[in-house]
Amino acid sequence: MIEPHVYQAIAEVVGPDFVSDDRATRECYSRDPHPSVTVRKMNKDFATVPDLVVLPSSTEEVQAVLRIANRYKVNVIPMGSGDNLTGVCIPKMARTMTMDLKRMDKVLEVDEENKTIRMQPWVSYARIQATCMKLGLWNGGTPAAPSSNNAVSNVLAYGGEYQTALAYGLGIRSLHSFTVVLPNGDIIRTGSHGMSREDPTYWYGPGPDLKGIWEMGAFGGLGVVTEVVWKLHSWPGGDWPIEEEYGHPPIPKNHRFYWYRFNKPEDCIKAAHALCYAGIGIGCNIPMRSVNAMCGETHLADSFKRYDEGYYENFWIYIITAGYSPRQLDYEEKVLLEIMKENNGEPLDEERRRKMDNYNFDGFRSGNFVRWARQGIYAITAFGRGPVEIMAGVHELQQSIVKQADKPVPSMNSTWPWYYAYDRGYWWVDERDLYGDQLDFARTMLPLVVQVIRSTPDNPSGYWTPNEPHGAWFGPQIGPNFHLMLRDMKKVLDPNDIMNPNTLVFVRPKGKKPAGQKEG
Amino acid sequence: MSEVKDATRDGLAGIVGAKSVFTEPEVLETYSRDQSFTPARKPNYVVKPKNLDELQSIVRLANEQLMPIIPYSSGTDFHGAAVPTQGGILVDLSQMNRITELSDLYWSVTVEPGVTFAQLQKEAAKKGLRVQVPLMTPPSASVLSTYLEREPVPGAADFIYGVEQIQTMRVVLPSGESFTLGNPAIEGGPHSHPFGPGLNFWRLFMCAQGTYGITYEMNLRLLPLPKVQKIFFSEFNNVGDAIAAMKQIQRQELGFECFILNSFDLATLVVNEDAATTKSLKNGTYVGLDGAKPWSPAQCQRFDALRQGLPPWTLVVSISAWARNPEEKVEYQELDLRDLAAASGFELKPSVGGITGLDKIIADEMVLPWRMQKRFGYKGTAHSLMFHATGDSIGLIEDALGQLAARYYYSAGDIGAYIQPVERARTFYCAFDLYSNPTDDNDMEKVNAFFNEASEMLINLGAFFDRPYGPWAEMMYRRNGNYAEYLKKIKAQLDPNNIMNPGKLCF
Repeated sequence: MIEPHVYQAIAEVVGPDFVSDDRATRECYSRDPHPSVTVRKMNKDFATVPDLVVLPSSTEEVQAVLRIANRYKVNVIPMGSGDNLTGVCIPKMARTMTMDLKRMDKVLEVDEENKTIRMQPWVSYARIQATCMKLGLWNGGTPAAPSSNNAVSNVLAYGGEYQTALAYGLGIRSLHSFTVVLPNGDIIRTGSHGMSREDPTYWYGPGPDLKGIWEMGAFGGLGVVTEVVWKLHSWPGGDWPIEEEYGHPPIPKNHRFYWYRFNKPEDCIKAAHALCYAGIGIGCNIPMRSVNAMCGETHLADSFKRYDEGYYENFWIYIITAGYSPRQLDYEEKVLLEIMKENNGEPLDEERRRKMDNYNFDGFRSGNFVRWARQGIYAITAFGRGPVEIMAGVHELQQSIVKQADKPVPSMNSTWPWYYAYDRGYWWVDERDLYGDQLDFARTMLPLVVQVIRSTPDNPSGYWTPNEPHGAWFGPQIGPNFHLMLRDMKKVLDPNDIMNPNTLVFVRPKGKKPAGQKEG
Repeated sequence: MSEVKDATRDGLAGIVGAKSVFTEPEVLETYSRDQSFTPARKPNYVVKPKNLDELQSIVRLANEQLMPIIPYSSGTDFHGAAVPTQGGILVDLSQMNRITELSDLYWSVTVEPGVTFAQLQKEAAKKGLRVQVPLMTPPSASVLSTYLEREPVPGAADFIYGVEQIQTMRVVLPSGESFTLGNPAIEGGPHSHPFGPGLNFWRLFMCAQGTYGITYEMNLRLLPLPKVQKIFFSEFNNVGDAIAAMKQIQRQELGFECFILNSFDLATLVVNEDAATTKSLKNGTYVGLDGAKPWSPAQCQRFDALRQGLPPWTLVVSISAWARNPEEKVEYQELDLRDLAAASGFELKPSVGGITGLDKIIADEMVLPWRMQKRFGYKGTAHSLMFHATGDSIGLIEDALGQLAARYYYSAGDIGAYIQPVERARTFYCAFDLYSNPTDDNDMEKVNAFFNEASEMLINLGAFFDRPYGPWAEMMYRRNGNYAEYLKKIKAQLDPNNIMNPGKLCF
């Protein structure tokens, strides 16, 4: 419960219309398809429901609200677009306030000359692209996520697994600099942003760069990012093409899109490695066949049917090339065809290629990709990192655990991981997911998820992004010093541990524990 | 007379052996200064660990004895970062020089701090690979320190090959504990990237001058040696036009290594030296503690004649191909570049100033640069104003610097300039060099004053000194109060005894 005078103080900052302790409103902030959250909801764990929801509209309001929260020891969970699927925005203890940033949705400035966009945190990938592509610029990609996904919270949490990360790197590399408000109300601006809010000169320092402390899984555990400068890249695609037939958007101009299939995984892996190290293309990915089945079919029942029939296979590769001249596109196509021939790659037949037309849009902007979540219960078990050659090992490890389930597992859980090439193909992201097709299946899934995460030391690709349930993996296998460094940062930046407690960093002052957990 | 008991020296000798601990004044003297304006100060001890265990033990000992620690890699820093400010233990890491995990499958390598560019380039070449080297860096420089200090390479023009070449790092923290950043933080994880797991600590250790810990291992990206390469030059009368052309080239993502030199720096690059000098340049001994031996009058004349014949500004674009069908890649890029040049009104030439073999010189410098070190001999010492600036502010900066030079009776023509686009010209790294004679106190004092006033002026004009050496620290952190405050708070948490290179940055 939040005391009336605390409520009143917050209402005076944001206005009475933008703070709520209404039960129905708060309930909306307590759900997530991750099995850990689903199980908690089924167990009627009321700690999933925040005590308060607040919607600040500016850096100054965030600053004032955090000062109040820090003074009265109210926990704060900052929330972006609300499509996090790993439970990080769901309260774990009483006396928690969800800070919904949706009023901070302004694009403040596009600097065409220096290729940056300055914006507030609640700006989606779709907004950035709609704003910038017409100027011949874009942000370099989109994850396989809803287009409403907030770019800032996506890269801060997960790094931004763009489908075009081959050329533009993980999205996190596009984060230029930002303004972050600490729980005590102090404001830090990184890079040249620190000298002047408008200055886009450089994105590091001066000296040690503090920006990394809030990146890659801090989950609002160390402050609230209220403004960012984002790097843009050249976009040769011109105006976005009109989709005249639903599900079959055209490819943007000066881009080409190729789909190949392989009979043997080793051929697929060799081709993938060769494509990346040939230096061609802006995107090269091996998508999960479960996702292809979901995205390729309008109806869920058809997705299951076609998946089980083997219509959608493992070991399809799609490659996106972008050219600033036809000569470049032709050169890259020639290299691509050579590599496919050498490695027994076959162009996907016309019927199935047409099913994959959604990617013509989703490879850049994400539209129908959200279809993959239609099963209901969903858990990312890893965003591993490594060379494409370890793909088989990653798959086998997960499958060995899935087979131990005490109930039949929906067929789509037998898929190989999604492999995204990034950083010019030096390395690949392996995303492994588990699905459940009915709520009750969450109880079966949860121990599987925990077990997969606990298998991290045996995992050939490593693992970095902390998902729920965090306690399962932020353990000794990460190295005691990493854990201690996290705690050190928490002590410096959030000594009262009010920011999304028990999500990333386990600084548990005595008596402060998740609801339902015994002291000890 | 019995020898005075020295617990620190004895402790160090117990860790690394007495032969690797140095307290002789003449040895300490060689670690007391570099050619920069940084005031000289001798360390109390110099110690040369050979491995991680020894390094950790040294840091623990320093913590017990509250003794400052100054990490020192190759001695080619020209900005005072490894000059002690409070004495203490200088840890010379040159003996930690192993190269491991050199992979031609994944184009990567792991190096220790003592590994030099010359050493790594030789090993990498055996597998057809190369490490990218900043143009102004001597072959004897530490690869690890150079990358840690974020010095851009000519290929930084291309994204991803910018300053983010580090894949993973291992650091000895002030407590003496070892800390791994990136994927290998999970035991057995491949060296795939520096991010996480959870929080990107790697950026915290960059440009920290050893104040947060000592990086003792780094995994880096490499590139294949080019199979086909063509280098083009374009002449400009003013820097603004050169920047505008560079922006157009980068907007179309053409070329790999790209940069701009003024006539002073280009003349420095190509002016001939005698065989003995060339040898010292290549082995990295040309610049000593007090700078370099000033050029002879004859050499100065040759240099002057050369630069008079060069355009004020020269844009260099290198088209490199190392993968499949390299001839075809270079061919299409050349045609695209020529189309762009024709449409934009600049000319692409095989050379400038009638210099024969200029493309070959540049190609060599891309692999293992050494020629720019010659500039230290112009007067004896060189003092770089190194900063980032947006393209539209560089013309203003260059103009203002010239006007300020006149007030100090310093010839504007004696300012070297190297301008490096980073990430397709999103920003430009600039190095404007001032020169002084180290044997002339008045000259040193004048140029020092010019350097300091110019730094303040440039910051006000938009220059961002991201590597705040010496006086820049105060100038930059004064303008970033909260940022500095939190750097200090983190320092106090990680290094409560403030033993790690105290006195540097804002610490």
